[in-house]
Amino acid sequence: MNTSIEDSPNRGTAIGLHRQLAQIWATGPGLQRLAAVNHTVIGVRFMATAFVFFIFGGVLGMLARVQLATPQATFMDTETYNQVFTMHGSMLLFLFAIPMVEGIAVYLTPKMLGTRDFAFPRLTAYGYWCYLFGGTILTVALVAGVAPNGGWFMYTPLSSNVYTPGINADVWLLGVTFVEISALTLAVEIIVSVLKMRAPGMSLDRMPIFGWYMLVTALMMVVAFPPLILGSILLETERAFGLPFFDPTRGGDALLWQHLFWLFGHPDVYIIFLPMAGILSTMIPVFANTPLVGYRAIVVAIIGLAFVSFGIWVHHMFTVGIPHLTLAFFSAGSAIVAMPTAVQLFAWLATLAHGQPRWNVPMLYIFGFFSTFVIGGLTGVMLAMVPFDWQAHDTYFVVAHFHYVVAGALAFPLLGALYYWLPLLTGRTAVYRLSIPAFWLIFVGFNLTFFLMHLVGLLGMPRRIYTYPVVEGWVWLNLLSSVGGFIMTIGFAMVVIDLIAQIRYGRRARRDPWKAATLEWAMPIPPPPYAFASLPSINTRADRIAASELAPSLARGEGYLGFARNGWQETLGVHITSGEPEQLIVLPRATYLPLWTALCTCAAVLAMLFKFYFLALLMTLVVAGLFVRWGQNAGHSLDYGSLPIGRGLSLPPHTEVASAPPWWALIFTLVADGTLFTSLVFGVLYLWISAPNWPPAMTPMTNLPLALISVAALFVAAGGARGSLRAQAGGRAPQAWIGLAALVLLAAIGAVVVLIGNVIPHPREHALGATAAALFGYVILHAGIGLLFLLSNFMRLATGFVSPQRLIDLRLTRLWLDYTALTGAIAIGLVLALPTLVGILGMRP
Amino acid sequence: MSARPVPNHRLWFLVLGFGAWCSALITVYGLHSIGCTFFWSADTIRLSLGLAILAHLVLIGWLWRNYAKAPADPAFGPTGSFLHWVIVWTLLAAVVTIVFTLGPTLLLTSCT
Repeated sequence: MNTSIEDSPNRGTAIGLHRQLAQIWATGPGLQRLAAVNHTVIGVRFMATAFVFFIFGGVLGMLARVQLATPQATFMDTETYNQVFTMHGSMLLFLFAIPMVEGIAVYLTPKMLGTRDFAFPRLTAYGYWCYLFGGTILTVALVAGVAPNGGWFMYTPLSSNVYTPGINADVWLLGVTFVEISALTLAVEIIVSVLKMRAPGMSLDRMPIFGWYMLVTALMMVVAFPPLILGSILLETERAFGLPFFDPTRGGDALLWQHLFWLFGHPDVYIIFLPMAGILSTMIPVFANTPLVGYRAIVVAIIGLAFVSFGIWVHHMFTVGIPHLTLAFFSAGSAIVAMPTAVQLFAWLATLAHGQPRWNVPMLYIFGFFSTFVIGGLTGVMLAMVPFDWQAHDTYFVVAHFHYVVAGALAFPLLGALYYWLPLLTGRTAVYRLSIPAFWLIFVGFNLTFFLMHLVGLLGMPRRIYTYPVVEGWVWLNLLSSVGGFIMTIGFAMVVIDLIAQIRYGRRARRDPWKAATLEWAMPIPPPPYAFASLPSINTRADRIAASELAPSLARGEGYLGFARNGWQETLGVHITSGEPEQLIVLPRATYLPLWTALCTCAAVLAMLFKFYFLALLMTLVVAGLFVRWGQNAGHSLDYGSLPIGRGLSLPPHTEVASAPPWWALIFTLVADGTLFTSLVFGVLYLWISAPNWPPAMTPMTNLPLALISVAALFVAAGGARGSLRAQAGGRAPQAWIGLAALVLLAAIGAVVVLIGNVIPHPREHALGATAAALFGYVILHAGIGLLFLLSNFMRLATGFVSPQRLIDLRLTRLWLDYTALTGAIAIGLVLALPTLVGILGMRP
Repeated sequence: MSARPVPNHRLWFLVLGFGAWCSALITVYGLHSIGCTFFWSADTIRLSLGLAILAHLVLIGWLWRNYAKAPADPAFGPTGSFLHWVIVWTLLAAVVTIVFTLGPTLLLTSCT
């Protein structure tokens, strides 16, 4: 990055400004496309890739319907059917639904918030490559006939290596975890961007409702994904190394997997639904020609919905043998979750009632959403009632319900959004000859396919069976369901043809074709890579602006940052609540580093899959090294002080302020990390309380002095990081403090490695030893990452990227080592407490 | 933008109400599991669950008294009013959720 600065920013005409900014922000041609980090490019890639996986997953669904169209069918054998239905669910949930939501968020959020890009463009690109490579691993496994075959929820003990000995389950555990890295990175990025990178003046109460939806969804992702990541790691560890977390014969418990899975799985439904609700809340006011009714009530509703959706995971486990009292409060929670959803539905209906709705293709899909989602929601309330759930559990009624909720709540708003935002994406308007018949085919086909599943489920047909006998009532319903599936597929095929026709033959769209009132329409279409030639100043609700009037003045550079300076990709950071501008954010430009890092991550995953553990460790170290390399040229190697941002204001660059985006990113990363740690502690206590074969035959023992030395070392390292920060802020050399912190961290790692080696009972013999080893492993991992932070500090100090004014590196290290010391003390303390806990268990009457 | 910015830490209040609900749920679930594992009497289990629920209602009551009861500080402008409104209603919704989801459990059989 150029370290000099031009005295006065270049100003010129709108065309001149466009050329200057495009040169700075554009992705290069040819192979340079692989270095793209721009949100518009990555967003489109996300959506296109998700759509490809949708086609794969849809074809698998159709294959399953062919098999089930008639009784005693021999179209597929059992093993093939198991792989087909498992991959149908896994692909559509993990490779289509969540990434499509992420793609929409990546593409739209910065534009709707009036900023030029996300906070961490390289992380966006890394997330995309992780998703693509993880999805490819799963797809190749399917083609090779070794795809996962234990259902999309991978229940233990079926997925343990006793009952699934091949690599099928490993493909799921490693592939899906790889994809989840992508989801987590993007979630952190979305949160920080929504909080810190809105247009100047866009206070929280002026944020478009879509921003609130994305913020809440991303926060949910940060908390929802870690339990599944932990579960996948523990199950893979059991399969690879024999640590019996889920094996009841050695103190594990198969139900622990269900808890960890559904702690993710249930909120995941809302992680998919909420962005779609955000889309609806954006589109409905446009077509109703009136502002959204109940903005504040919707914000309350989605906050409530986010929390309650986490607290009802056990309703997926009503039949596993839980006491009535527990069933009752999870049942009540599952019923009350309908309330915040209803608040949103009534707000949309009220908006339509207040306005003068105009019918268009997106409105057809909104109508489709209303009818399918209400049916899905009501059957959800039915299933929340324990007596009914006991009857309908594991029948096709449940399959019908979740297709109405997940597929209906996703597909219809998504297709509506596609028609709504396609002029922005492509610069062309729809042809419409196929759009309307395509909608009706999808709508009729969807309801024919899935509504009849309610009936066949009530008649007792179980799910996950590859064929069925001639039972009265089942045969015709299944055949009609399959016919409906084909009708729906024809509808989707027509949508694809329609889209191709639009891109190829559609008329050039004028700016803001729907007369919308959100910021994404206040830019040229299709959007240039810098999105806004200058950033708007917001003084009203950002979903009530006259986009087409604002756009020309922004294009002329009359907003903030309406110039090109020094070849920098510039945007603004704002105060979280007020939206007042507080820092100039300079973003990194296109680089191949995200691609290389994702390729090495993929190599590590593949090495684990094929059990080349040394190679996996080596590649993990390479990935760690690449991440350190990422950080080396980030920020500035000079202190600039305040720089002009236009409209008479000057601000310091983000490297010289306290609340820079990396600070907030680390905080939310630690929230995710803390959730994983809490899930691990929950797992230990759950096994203690619930697992069979406790207490173990052998008395647990830990080397107390060594454990205390480890904890002390972690706290000394945290103190060293604080010392380095104080020294640098005071203008003194911080290297000695950093060296001290590194040395004691190494000592802590050595001590904990010795502790793992001496765990009694042995981690392979009993789950108690395995959980102790997992807690110690957590400490080692975090201390190791702490070493990387310190290494990066050394290198950045040497190259002048840290100064008394630019302290962000040292502040991040301090925060990480504080967290490591705190969680390390809890983890090691829990291991030390295990003998006492086991003793208490032995005193039961 | 003449109003004073609402401090960032005030945003925590947005999640405190339903955070209390989550805490109540986990506490009740955990206490119930421990009670049943160690064969506590039905009355002891019921009492401990009742106290846990009550403690969380008191917590929300305290939040209400110290933050929500007073009108929004006009110095924070429309953003302050908006956040105050949202906080008040999340607290109210959280109380209803705690009472509706956890209250009836006190009337049920304990460990069967």
